[in-house]
Amino acid sequence: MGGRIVLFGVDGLDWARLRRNIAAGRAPHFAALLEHAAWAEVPVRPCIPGLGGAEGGMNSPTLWTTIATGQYYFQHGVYDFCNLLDSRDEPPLFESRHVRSPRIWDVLTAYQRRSLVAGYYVTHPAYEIDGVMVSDLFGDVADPAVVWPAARRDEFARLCGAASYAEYVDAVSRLSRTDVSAGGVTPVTSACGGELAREALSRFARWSDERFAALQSEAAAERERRLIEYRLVYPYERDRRIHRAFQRLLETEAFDFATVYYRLLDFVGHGFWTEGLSLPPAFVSDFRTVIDEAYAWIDECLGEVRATLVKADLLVVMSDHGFDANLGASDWDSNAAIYEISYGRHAEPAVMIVAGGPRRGRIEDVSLLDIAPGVYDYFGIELAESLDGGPIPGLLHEGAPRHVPRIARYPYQPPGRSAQVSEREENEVKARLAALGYLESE
Amino acid sequence: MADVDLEQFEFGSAHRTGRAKGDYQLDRLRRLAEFQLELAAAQRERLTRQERRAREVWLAKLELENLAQPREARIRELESWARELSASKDWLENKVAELEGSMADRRREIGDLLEAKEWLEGRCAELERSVVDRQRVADASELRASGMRAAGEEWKRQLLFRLLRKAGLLRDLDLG
Repeated sequence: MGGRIVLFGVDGLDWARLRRNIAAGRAPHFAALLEHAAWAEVPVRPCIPGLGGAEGGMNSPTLWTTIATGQYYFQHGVYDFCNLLDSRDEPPLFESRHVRSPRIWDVLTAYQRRSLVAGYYVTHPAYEIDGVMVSDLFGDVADPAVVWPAARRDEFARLCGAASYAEYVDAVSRLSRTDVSAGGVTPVTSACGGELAREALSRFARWSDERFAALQSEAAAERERRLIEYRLVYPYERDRRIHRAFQRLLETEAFDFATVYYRLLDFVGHGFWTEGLSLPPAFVSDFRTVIDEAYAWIDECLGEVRATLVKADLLVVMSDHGFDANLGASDWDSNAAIYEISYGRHAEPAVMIVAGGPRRGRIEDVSLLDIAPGVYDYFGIELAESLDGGPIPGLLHEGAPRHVPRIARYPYQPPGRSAQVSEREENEVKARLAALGYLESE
Repeated sequence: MADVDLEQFEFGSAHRTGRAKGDYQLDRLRRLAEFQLELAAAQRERLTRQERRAREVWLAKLELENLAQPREARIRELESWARELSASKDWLENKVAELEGSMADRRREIGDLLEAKEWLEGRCAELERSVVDRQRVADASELRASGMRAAGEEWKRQLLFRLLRKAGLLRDLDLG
């Protein structure tokens, strides 16, 4: 096979919403992609048998690790956001060392294939692969292990306007600080006073300067500022930095496989879903454009990534789940805390779009478990018995999957380094997750 | 754990070779069960620790309540003293205010008296000066009067001499 594979991961990308935005002309790159691509509505629940918890088990760390390993959660070990198996008293966020099975880039490294990984779930600390890894906590933590090789850390920070990574993470930390106190999360919403917030609200909510100024002045708007910071400003800034890093990698690095992960749609889906719900008119008026504008922004990112590819390359767009109205959401006017309100909830199906392969149109019987095996098959790597999915015939290359002897499992040793994340940093990340309803606020 | 009928569930995707094999299904079911047991054990241990901590907190709370009871009684006693002291303080402050008011009145009275004294002293001084002046006037008058009396006597003596001379009763005497 001559081409490369790019896995464009968009958390929460929903088919119904995507189609509507394509029809409205807000997603021209997606539209162009679908004209010549294979696509599938991917069921999600069959990939998480017996898993409960937030969002009915459809939590993003589990699903993205399932996609990257081709295995069920009870094999790769990632089943939630925090790992109770690591600590009963203070379950930490899942780290790269907790993943019990090799992911696509680990297997490709074992077979001398080069990978680029940007912002993918559960990749912190970044660890050695044949290629470059930018961890999912890049910019969120001072831990230097946010990029492998470490020498490139400052390079990606300079893409964001900072002289070094230390300077960048300090600037990001001053955007917002969260105090996780007894009874809930209490963010210091300094983020909503700055230019980034103005830019995000202008871009996604189409707010005027006057409306933005009112946000700063009204004492009663504290909850609103918190919502905006958690569910718009932070994920927008986060996705921007990851996108810039990924673009730099695509433009400068040789690779066989590259993947990037965006979380903006998931965050705004939780915070600003207004359809099918009875919400105050002022809320709807203020935020009704956010999600669709986020789709447009993701579409722009897709366009930029596509522009770096050549004809032989394969582009796989994946989501881990879709979105729907959360009919059990608390009324905005109630005194419920931000983390108790989530207007959108995870739903099926997930999105899969494959451009550049032989097949066109709708494909049935696709599973999240089939992505990794498909990549291995594409590169001529034998399939392991430890996989739970299989390559989809004709999706990535002509013909049936190769008949190569199977092996029991791929060679793999989980990275040994623990994350060096301060209590404040971990609390801030958990506070954001709690604000999405993923964690119980303690 | 979400409800799932594991007896009906078929592991593996539709494209997974060997999915239908019993070995594969049994292996995945076993792995799922082992993982769920591992997770359940971890959750049980976490709950146990939380219960233990909750029990410790509860016992500590009881102990603190036992310690707190006499202290609370003492605090109530002190609070009562404090209220009494506060009432005394209020009374004293009122008293002080009264006294200060009285002192202010007294000061005003003293001021008035001082003014009166000054006036009187001034009047006395005026009167003294008047007495002195009158005395002086009186002395001067007395002196004039004595001079006038002396002059009157002399005049009467001269008049008598003139009358006596006119009457020829007296020769021109040397009246010296």
